Amino acid sequence: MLAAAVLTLGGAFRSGGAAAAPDRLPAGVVDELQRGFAAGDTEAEVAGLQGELRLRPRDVKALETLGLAYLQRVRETGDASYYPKADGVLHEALAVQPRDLIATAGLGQLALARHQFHRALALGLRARSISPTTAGVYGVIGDAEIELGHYPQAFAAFDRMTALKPSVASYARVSYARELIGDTAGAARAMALASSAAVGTREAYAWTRVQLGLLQLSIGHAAAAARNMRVALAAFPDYPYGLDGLAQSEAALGNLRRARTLETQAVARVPLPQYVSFLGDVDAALGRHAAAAKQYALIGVIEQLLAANGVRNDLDIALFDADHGHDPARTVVLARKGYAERPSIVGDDVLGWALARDGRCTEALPYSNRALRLGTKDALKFFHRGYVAACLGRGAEARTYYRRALAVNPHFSILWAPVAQKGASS
Amino acid sequence: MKKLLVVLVAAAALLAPAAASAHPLGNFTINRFARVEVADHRLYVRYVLDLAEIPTYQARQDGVDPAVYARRVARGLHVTVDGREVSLRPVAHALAFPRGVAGLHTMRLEVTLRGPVVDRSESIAVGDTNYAGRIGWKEIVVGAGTRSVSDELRAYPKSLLQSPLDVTRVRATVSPSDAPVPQLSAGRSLEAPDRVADGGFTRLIGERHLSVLVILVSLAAALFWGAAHALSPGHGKTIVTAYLVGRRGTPRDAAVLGLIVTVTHTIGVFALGLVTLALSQWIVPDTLYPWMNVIAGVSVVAIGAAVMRARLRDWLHERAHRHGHAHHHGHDHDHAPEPGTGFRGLLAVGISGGALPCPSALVVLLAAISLHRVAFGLVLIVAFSLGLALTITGIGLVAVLARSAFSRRSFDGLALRLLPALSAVVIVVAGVAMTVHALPKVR
Amino acid sequence: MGRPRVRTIAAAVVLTAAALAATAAVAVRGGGPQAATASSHREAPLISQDPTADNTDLYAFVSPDKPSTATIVSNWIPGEDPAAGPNYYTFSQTARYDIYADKNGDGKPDIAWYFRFKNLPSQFFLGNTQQSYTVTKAENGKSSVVGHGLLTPPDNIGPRSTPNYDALAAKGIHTLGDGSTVFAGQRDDPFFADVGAIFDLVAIREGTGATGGGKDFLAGYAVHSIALQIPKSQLDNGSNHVVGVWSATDRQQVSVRNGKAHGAWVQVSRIGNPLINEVVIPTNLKDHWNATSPAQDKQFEKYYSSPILAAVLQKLYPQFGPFKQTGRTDLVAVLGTGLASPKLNYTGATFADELRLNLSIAPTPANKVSDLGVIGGDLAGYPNGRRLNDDVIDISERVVAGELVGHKLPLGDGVDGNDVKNLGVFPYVAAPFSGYADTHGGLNPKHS
Repeated sequence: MLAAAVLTLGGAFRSGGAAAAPDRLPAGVVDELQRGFAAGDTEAEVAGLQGELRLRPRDVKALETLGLAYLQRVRETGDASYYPKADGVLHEALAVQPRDLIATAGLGQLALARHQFHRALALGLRARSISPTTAGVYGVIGDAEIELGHYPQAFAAFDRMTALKPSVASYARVSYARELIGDTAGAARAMALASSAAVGTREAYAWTRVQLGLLQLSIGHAAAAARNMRVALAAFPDYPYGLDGLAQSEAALGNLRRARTLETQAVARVPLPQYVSFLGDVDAALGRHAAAAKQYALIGVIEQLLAANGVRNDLDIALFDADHGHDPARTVVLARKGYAERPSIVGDDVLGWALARDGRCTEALPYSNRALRLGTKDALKFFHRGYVAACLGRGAEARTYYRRALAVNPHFSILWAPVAQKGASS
Repeated sequence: MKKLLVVLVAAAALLAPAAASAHPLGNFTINRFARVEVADHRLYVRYVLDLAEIPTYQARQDGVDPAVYARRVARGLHVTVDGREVSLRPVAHALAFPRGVAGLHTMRLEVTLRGPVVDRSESIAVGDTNYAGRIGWKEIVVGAGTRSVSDELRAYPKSLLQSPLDVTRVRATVSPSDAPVPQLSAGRSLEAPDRVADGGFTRLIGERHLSVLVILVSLAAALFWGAAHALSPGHGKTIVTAYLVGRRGTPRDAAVLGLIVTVTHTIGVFALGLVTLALSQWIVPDTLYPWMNVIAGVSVVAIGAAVMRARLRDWLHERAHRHGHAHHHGHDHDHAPEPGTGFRGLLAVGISGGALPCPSALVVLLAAISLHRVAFGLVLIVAFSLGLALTITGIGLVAVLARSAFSRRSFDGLALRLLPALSAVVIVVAGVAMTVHALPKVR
Repeated sequence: MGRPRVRTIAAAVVLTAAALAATAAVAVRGGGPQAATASSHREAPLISQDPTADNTDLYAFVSPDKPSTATIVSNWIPGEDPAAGPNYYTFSQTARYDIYADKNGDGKPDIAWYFRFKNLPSQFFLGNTQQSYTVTKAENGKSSVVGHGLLTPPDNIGPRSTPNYDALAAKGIHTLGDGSTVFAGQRDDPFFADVGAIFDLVAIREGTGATGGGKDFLAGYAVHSIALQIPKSQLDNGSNHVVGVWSATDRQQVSVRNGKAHGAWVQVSRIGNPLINEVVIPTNLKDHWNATSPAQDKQFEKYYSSPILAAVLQKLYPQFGPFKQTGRTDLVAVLGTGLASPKLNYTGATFADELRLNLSIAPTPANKVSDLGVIGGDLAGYPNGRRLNDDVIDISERVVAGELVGHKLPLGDGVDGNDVKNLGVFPYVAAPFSGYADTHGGLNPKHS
């Protein structure tokens, strides 16, 4: 009920304008806010909380809620300058109340975003010790376990999470876990539930639609995927994940020019290396080699920046480098670094692929096998496994994996689907 | 001094986020600023674009022609006077590529736009559509003297309670004025050297261009702060003093101790900085911190106990001697394993004095690391440590001299024998106090 | 002796160093990367609201125009903004909406009504917010469908899409197989509160208390209501005539390995007495409380008997104190067992958070109603059930301040009534504002 009031407050800010003195937000309402911010106008909520904290800087509820709202702002805008702010206010909440649940879990979420998975796990476990009945803490734990390659623990955490509270947060995690074990249909069912439970919260709803679209895309249902991406963009205009998802869908449908326009918009908002890399690939496929070269060069710059900022993003960069044949030996080093921090099947896959591209296929084989150990039905991983087999001179095995990749998704990659096609029929 | 510490820590906390990248708002922002003013009876807009590393790189891939940018900016800025849209003409521009992180550059473009004649009070509306949808700081101010929160995109506020400004529309009333036409920035102002800087000690490290004077002043300041900082409570000087008194040190011992403190402190801070950087990836400091405080407290108790035990043995020895050879006075030099202020003992105490809690120095170093000014940071810390050591040595000397004064009056009496024991007690009490203080926070 | 001492000190130094490292780690927080979102793994939302499964308020009263029946109104989806199109609001198709009645005071449901909603096939036309629904009633271990294919009215979108809304809404009233009457659909939010002033009691605007002049933050917002009008004979236990009601929402549990979209229902939200989730239950237990049913409420009793609000009052108004902050058996009685003295709605020793309605107390005539309910001398109002117009904020503040233990203070939030007049007939809750004519946050008229 008070959440309603909070939403109303958002409305009050909107109509009152920035100059109007906002009504003070009482602590009891703030309590409700932490669940409610996604539903309303996060920007107005942030403004309200900032005002509240200028009056009462040690209000734990306001601090932790503002921390979560800042994290939500990153999701909405891609503006990473909210990360240090979230970090700051959440730590201030902990300084006042060392065993604060929300601040601890919030810092866990922040650590995940920064790819500090060990730290995230520690925070998640600490949050669990504070409140074992709160569903959100199992989200932090499970997410960290997944990236660290501890799958049984991760799945147990997600199961516990939905048992405690079925919600968009827990459904979405079950969906991802199902996707990892190769149950794409089950993953889509769980994500549809997530989407339904996210109705009324714009960003979360858009996010579930994008994930649903990506699942469909992964099994070659590009038209359905495009529809979901459009629904996401209607709910949350200019959502970077939605722009990227729609671009990928359009590319899979053969509309490369449209894909290019959309991905350019996504890159303009959030230049993630995978977005830039995809844009380059689209440019290359369109025969715009100069433009593609520019995008590829930009990845080098992003890599430099990430390194300077201490961001651990080596797997993505390594994947890009391996795909584009940049300095194979160094790529292996990068992939190993990435693997060390994320010994998940993603790490296995990228390291195996980097080794294969460096011609070290005997070394690559165990990694590529491990990448498929959960039974994941991912066309790219099948393709990588086929590539390793081909490189080892096992023609029949290579053809099997290439066909498997194409059966899952005939348009799995602008770069590699044609290679798989050629290999499968040779 | 506590205040200084607070300031330092606060400054570092503010600075640290920014330090991670030259651009406080992230590496892919495009930041926009417009100042609308009346000068020379005309409407002028001073427009500033600040591109972070990635957009700068992208822009330079295509080549940057400032005149083209200026025209584009003019088209994207919509100003109406009395409801009618007016055209703005770029009349001057300045362009610079200040250094960013990772050897990359950022871009700062300033454009002066000239609008229509203003000969009476007019209501105006300004709408900035440049780079709509791009993340970044968006600020519009009206009037030549109005303060810009970001100092015209040179210093972005780092308050935890300040979201990136998002002002793209403004309404105001302007009056005729014959103020001078706005000028473009040049040199350092255009290069925006203060963009990553912040107040306080840490700011010294952030300075991009270090003049000799700045270095000297910084060093002097660091020395002074170190010396002053040593006076703040809980800095090991109690222990050091007590030790010197307890072990009957000489002035030379005090000087050696000072040297050891400097070296240890420097090495300690440096090593800790590295350990911290590594640890912060793995542990949850907030969890560990109270425990570590307790452990530190218990360790000090242990040191005190050790000293106390040594005193007790000395005393027992002395008693034995006194009983054995009643007229034998002075140093018990024939008991070599117990050198009163032997080098080992000095080393141990110097180390404990040098490595005892001093987060502010550490903060300076870490700020230096993140700002890629490690060398300067290290030099500052050496100065800081030196200051610290000077104070501790000074206190030690006073203690030693005071004791000599006692001796000259040839007290072989109670005070002299009690002082060492008392000093051990002081150490133990300090340790217990630290432990007790830390305990409630452990849960 | 020298050696061990050095070792001791060395160990101490190492430990101190570690402690310092921890200190420094705190000091350099925020030094992490900020420039890149670096999100190649999936960042699912962690804490996200679920408005379609969020119980906002619950009401239960003897129907004033039909005293042979009792009416239960349960509301969901807080803060529906009529002007927020194209975000139209509907009940969730994947949630189950529950209303429970406890006739013998044991905290366990004796009757349960379950509601499932489905979008109409024409839903692809954006803006058609009409849904069909099924009502299942469970009683005595048997469950039966008492309503099937019932229709909600569409949301009130505006005169063009939904002209003549009241007539449209009237078609949403149906009779169930067991003789009850039901309505489900969008309504004006009947709750009223000056949220800015509820707990920050300093801000009781200009000291208005319960004399109007406050700002109703909920004015102009809608909710989704389910209203049930039930013959008293079905609810009355024939002895003390008290029925306890609560409402909840369930979602289905899924698991990683079984691949299904269906599983056991897990309760994700509930409401009995107003404001409990928001004010009484600590953050760490909120998920747990929402998943629990009243029969297990004993574990939460301590939070009812030592309410935070009393501590807040003490801090803010020491001059009006002392406020009793612990051992509040009066609050435990009002919220958990019902009041035995005065003889009102006591249901026994079992502590259970339910809205308790004494069916034998006749509705108060309109001209004699006190919005302060029982403490205003009107026994037909909260905490004997809850009528739409009962001022639960003012009542709660006063009761927590000690109204029932001889400590009377004229506390209140300055909002004494809803922004629109509720209906005199079923479903009693007023029609929602249209997206056309919305007004938010209206000032409540000041009276003396």
